Amino acid sequence: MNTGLLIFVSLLGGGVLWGILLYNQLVVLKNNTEKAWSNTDVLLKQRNAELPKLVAVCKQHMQYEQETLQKVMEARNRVASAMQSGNMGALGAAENALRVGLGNLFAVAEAYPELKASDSFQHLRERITGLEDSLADRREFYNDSAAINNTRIAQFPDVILAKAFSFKRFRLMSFTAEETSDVDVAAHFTS
Amino acid sequence: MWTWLHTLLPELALSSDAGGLNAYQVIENQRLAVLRRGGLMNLTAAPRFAIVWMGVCFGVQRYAELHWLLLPATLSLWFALGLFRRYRLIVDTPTSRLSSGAQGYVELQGKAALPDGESCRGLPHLPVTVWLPGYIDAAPFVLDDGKGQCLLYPAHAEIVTRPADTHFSWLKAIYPGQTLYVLGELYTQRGDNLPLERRERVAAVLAEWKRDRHQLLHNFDADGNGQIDAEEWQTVRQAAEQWVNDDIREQQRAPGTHLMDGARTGQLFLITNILPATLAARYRWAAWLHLTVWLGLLWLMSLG
Repeated sequence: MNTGLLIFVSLLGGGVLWGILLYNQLVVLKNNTEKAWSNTDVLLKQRNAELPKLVAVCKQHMQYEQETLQKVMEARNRVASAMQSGNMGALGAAENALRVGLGNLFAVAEAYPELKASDSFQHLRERITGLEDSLADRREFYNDSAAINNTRIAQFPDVILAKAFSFKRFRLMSFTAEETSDVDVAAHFTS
Repeated sequence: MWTWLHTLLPELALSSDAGGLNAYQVIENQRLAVLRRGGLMNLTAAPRFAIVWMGVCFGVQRYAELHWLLLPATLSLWFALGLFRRYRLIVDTPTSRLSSGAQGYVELQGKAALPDGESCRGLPHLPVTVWLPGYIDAAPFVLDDGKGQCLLYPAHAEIVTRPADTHFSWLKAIYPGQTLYVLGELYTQRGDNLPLERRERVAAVLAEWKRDRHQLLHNFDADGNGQIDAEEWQTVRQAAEQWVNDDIREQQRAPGTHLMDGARTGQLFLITNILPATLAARYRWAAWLHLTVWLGLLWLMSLG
């Protein structure tokens, strides 16, 4: 066989295989990011399912704190609708409002000894706090996955394949300045 | 060889015929461990392999017809692609923290440990190991990242080890307390992941209670007529539902068990006690080397 032809076939084959490898890697990154989002989504849904139970328990004891409870439920509904529409900006803002609302609720609950002693309240508080901690971890995991994907599809030579096959950037779940600052516990107690 | 080994390791000399430890077998298992558990790609990333491979290519070029160079060239391309894939997997996979245990294809970092209830594992006269090729190949061990634990089933894993920090530096093994890096599919097993629905669980509890009629009457026969009538049956149902609800609540509170076994997907399941940055650099370096060899051999062919 002609040596020149062998060299040409080898170079062509190498190029094609390299292209396939890069394409498959971009697919894996896209799937990883989607999976990371579904990891967060599961916990958001679990947390949202627990909130009405918490509010119902609180309502039995906190007749004069309707506004606080109302704010939590409103923020919860905003989170749910942002999740449905996939609007990351709105989700970040709603999550922030919910976190502030929950902080207020737990602070105000300190003034109701019967509520604090309730098994249901204790259980729900532990569960929601646990879910919040896990959510923070998973949000970071999602942001890592999205950042890796966004970097790869912008780099050469991956950018050529990304543009040709319409690989898209994923939007990060943003943190507001208020969220990243230290928590002012005293403010919750005085509000 | 044996004299040298016996001088270096009196433990082996003492125990080769004392039962428990066959020194020859240990050495044999160690010799093949890199290839058998690390796989061909990890062998091709070793600097010594690069030297041998250059020698092979030179031999083909010197003693065979020129078009035979296509064979090592193609193999070099294959090595380069495999190593590049491993490099990108290490660099591009996000880290999951075991406190929340994000599911999917992830990387984990933590310390190796023996499973709960096991204090000693390995061969007599050798340090305690969590994994030792040829002896403890498939037994699960624990990765602890400080906030949670994951049980690793290494049977399907590609395991890459570095020399130990002890005087048994020749022993390719994973020791408790060593820092591990793992790439693989993480999933969590929980009680509430079980396939039974709440309704089915209530039915199962009722069936269980009905089997012990004496106890059932003792607990629920309020009027003492020796029978469970309709009203009392309603109480039994409510009690069963309450029992199941409490059980589910307990299971939700209990932390799940994180697992990695590499059996679910065809993706790489890697366990190593080498730092990820070091391993990634090794793969990248070796990938570029094999790519250069591929192009170099094609260039040599074009000259001929």
